[in-house]
Amino acid sequence: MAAVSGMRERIRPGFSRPRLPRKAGFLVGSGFIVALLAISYFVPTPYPPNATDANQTFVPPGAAHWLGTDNIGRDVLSRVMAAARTDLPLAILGTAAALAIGIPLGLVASTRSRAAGLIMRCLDMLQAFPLLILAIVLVALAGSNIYNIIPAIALIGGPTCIRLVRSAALSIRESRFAEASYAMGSTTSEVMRRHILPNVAPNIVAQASLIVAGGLIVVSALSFLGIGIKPPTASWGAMLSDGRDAALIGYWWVAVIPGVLIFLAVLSFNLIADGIEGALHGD
Amino acid sequence: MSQQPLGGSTIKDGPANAQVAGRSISLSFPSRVSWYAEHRQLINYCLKRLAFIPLGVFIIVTVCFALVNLVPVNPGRQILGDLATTEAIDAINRRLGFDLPISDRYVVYMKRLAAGDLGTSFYTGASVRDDIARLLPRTLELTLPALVLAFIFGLFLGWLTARTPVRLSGRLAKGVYTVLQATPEYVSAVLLILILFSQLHWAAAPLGRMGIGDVPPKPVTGFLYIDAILGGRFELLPIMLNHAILPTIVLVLGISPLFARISRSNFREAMSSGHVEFARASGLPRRQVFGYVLRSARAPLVTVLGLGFAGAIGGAAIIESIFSWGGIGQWAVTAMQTLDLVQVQGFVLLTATTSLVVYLLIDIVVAALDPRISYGRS
Repeated sequence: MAAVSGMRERIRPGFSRPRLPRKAGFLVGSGFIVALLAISYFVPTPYPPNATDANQTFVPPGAAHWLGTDNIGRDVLSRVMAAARTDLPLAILGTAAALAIGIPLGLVASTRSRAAGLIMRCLDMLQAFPLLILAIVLVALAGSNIYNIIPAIALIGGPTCIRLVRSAALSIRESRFAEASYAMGSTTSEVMRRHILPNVAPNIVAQASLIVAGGLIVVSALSFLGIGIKPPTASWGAMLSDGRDAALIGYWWVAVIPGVLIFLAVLSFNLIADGIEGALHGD
Repeated sequence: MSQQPLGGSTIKDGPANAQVAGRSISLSFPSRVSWYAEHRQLINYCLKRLAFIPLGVFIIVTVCFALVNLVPVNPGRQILGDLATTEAIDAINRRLGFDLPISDRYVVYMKRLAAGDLGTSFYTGASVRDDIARLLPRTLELTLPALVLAFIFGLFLGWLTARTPVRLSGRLAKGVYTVLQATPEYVSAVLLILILFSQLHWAAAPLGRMGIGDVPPKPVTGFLYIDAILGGRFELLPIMLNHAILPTIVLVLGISPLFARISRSNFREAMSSGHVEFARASGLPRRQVFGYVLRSARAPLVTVLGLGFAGAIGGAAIIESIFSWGGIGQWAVTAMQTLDLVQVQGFVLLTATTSLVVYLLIDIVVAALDPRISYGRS
């Protein structure tokens, strides 16, 4: 056994090694997200997230406040936990909306109907708009309800989802089993439900993970700018923005902790997508 | 034996066409046909795409109008605040034309746009068109150099990961790419300010283009660098460059993953193509092989560079706000925060029209670069 693997390594150095980081990345990513959700939902916050304490401002991380306190004495750990309950569901719900729009429209767009042409023309048109800017504008104009962020994420993620489902459906439709199903009298919708959708599902899951990552960036950007999510509500982007001034005078933890959490969460969703893609393409 | 067509003078139809796998592929023979005949397909394609511009602009303009007029914002209430009386609010709305029915407002809006009037700000009363003309150069001074640097850096990363995915350099590049891709620009901006300015004092303060005591150069072109040179204020240049370092780094780190991703997949494809493998097998120098790879991957690279240009106006909005850069992006962020509808509308109009034109140029350049693309269908 050892000799065989040794030979293989000599012929193509590192041939079997690149598999591991991908798998490990997938496990680490999904593990981090599950842990984050579990901790923020099931573990009680050590302090009320919005409770201020004038005697405890800018306490460095320590025994009483594990991650320190901010400029008005709020516990940073409690606030990042509360923020996870705001930010992650928004990104996930936005992705769900993107999929709810993207999957049916993508399937319709893969047919030869007139509606398919119309959908593709609309997508071409939408491409001219810088979607992130349009989404921020929509949230800004629609008012300070945080749920307005959900359609904004759907607007950004929907078009990529439609394109993905369409191109995958187009290639699967040409395969033997889909052709056989047509030959046996299945209707287009039956073929879609039984053959196309199950085969596109892994790609959709990978794409969904990327949309959640993008959605999280949008949610945090909006709350960083103070658009959509209003001050007392804890959100990673808003905490990062609040922490900027504190960081300038040396209180690094107020900004660094939410910043690192945004990074880790986005990284995790990217790793999940990467792992699924890797498993699909066999490398 | 019939006469062979010698030279190109007898070929009237331009390049011959072959149908391969449902795609029309033009086979150009070296011939002396006129320039127009040779490029007829391309020219027709360009004209067809150009004809699409008016329709595209019309749709963009209409969407911008809808954006501002269909949202549940009462402009008068927004301007005067919550304590204002209903009469005062109505008076403001009447002055702004918001009391008219929506169809009339649309007509007024289109007439004004046709005259080149983008409206005036709710709060400052400044003309939106003048603001854009004044602030746009400042944004381009930040985004264009950053775009070029990000392109070079992204290609470098993509080349490293495509060339030797299993070697240490390739793995490091992959790691750098993975980290950069997961770091939103505002996160890296805050962290870099914290480390490079607050702790190490290497970078300039994130408070604009120059020190607080420095008098800006007399505005001539709007580009501060050029104005400083024209006005003979050479002492300002190092100060401005010093202030530009940090935002430029942040932007480069933010944009380069896009370039790295596209270049990696296209480099890989190009490296497995026959002529590149042959070049490597022949032992050609690495630089020359890279030249071949770059050549075969040029069409997608041009596309993605164009996408970068399209995003150069609005893409740096958050960075501009963080560093008080004072460009069009910061102006737009302030407009969104204060709900200055006319400014927001002007900004969307500007960015969308730019994207429309840039995407069109990309299509044309790519069609000219890549002879495999058929011009017949869009």
